Amino acid sequence: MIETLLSPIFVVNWLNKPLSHIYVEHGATDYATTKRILERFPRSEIIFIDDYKDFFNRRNQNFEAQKLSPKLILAKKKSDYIYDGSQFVQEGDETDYFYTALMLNCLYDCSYCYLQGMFSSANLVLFANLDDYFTSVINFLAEREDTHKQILLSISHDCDLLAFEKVSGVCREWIRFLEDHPGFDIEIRTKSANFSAIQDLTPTDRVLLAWTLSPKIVEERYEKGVPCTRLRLENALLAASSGWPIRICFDPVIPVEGWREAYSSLVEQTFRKFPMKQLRDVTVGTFRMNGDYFRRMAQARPSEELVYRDWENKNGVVSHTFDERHEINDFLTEQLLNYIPSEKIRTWS
Amino acid sequence: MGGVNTENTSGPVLIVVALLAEARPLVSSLNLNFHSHGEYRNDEFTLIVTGVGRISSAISTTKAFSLNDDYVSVLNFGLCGSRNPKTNIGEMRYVNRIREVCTGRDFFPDPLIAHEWEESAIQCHDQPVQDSNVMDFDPFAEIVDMESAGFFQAATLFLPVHSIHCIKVVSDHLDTSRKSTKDIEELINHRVLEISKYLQQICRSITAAKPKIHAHIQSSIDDIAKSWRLTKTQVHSLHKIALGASLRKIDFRPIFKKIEAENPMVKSDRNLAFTHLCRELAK
Repeated sequence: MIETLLSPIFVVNWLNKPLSHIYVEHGATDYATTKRILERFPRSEIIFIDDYKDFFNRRNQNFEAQKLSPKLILAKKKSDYIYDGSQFVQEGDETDYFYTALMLNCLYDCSYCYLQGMFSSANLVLFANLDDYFTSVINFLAEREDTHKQILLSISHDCDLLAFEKVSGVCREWIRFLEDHPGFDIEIRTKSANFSAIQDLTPTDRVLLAWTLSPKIVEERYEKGVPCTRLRLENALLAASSGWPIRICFDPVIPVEGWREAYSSLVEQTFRKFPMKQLRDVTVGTFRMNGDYFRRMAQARPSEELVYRDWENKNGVVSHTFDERHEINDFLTEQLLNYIPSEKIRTWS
Repeated sequence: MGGVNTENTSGPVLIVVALLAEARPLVSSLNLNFHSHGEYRNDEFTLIVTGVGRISSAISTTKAFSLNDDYVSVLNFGLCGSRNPKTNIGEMRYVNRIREVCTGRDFFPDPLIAHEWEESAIQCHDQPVQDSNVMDFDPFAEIVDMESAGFFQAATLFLPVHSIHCIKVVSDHLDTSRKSTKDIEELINHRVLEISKYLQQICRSITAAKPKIHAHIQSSIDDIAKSWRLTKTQVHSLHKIALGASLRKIDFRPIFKKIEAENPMVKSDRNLAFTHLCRELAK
């Protein structure tokens, strides 16, 4: 009886659209970012909350289900604005690498992403109190003892900030802040095709735009909702030709059937026409994840093929074996050396 | 691989109401049969009548889940009061935040499934509310009931939050004078069609079921495990890798054919053959 009541449209549109609901912390209502976003989504349901953790860290959430209709939380970051760089990044000794969590979670849904083990929720948290971050950076720079090393601050570490730029405008704010505050560079890493959101800004050497690229087979199999590599590469080329320094990331390299041919072809496709003057470096890395995150990810995403692979869990890090890692890194390095000098290649192993 | 359930797997839904008068229109429209005191059923739905108050609601919800853990969703349905005089009597509200007044704690359903009603935050009080000033401490929650917080806390022990739903029909503007059974049934009867549509949506599981290896592959793995005398750990690893290979839609036949003749007799040969098989499946 009930089925006859349903129209086909009702059956198809049975989930709310992403960002159908925006949860706003009482303490975050007055920030410009909050106001701008609420104006941009007049049809979203607004729900006021005391603390974002009450919603974000609820028990018994289903990450996989939430990814189908993620909600946005606008919150105020209260402490810990700058973190030491992760052991999983490829920065060399010449750079002091830090990151800041402006946003938690990502619009995209990559099977290999550590965020699905890091957070119990797939909803997006955006911290709206940008000025507090800026003050924290100023204080951090003033108190720093070792001033010889260059500082690189990743602002899109636990998220893809550029993918969300047309909504948040946060990258733009950081680039403007940077103009008046020397002493550090920022990295904006993305899989988006959203360079147009900051294209009108004057390029600066102090902002490193990093694009992660994957071959078609990996992109189709493991990167749900992500713009295709062709678009990402077009964006990277456009940014490079506009004068921005670029980092290209082949990270993680996922060995699938025919991975050598796939990655070799991707390297060729990427660097055939790349304006090398703008290429800061290339990072290469294999799949790796904190062991606890991996365990949680395996529970949260039981239908993801990657969780069933025979990974090695060594010293709390889930990854390929040492030999496999070297095989992958060596192959990619060999391919890259056809186009770029070795000092521009950074690997994680 | 992961993602939305395209197989349309569905399961029974538990409906939790406080009063028999709230239950009757649903029992009738969903063709539920009397099962036991305060419980009505058919293959798709189980409806329980809990009595008034959050403790009763929590206890009855817990009991229902303890007797049957197959429910894919649970819905708390019932009447509520509204302090907003502009809200029409009979309007429906999807509850997106529940404030438990006695503790000041908030609980949040996960509104993933689309619906056609306005949404509202609700205050869950232990006594009927007649004075709107009592609700002033949470100005964003304009409706009030006496069950939602108890229901929600009990339900989260058994189901993920996106499978827990709370829908209310506004029955009054904080006027606690007793309503006749007929009035209550009439209010709900007007909404039965919408509720039935929504129930059809929530009886469908959003995410795909946990993947399983096809029976004939499982049987081959069992044969290998037995004839090679694999250790428990090796069987577990093999099962895991085979599941991944199965998700990648690997053709198992040539791999199994290749190892058909293998019959490792000593431990070292067995371990070598096992490593080789895992590598083939992981390709």
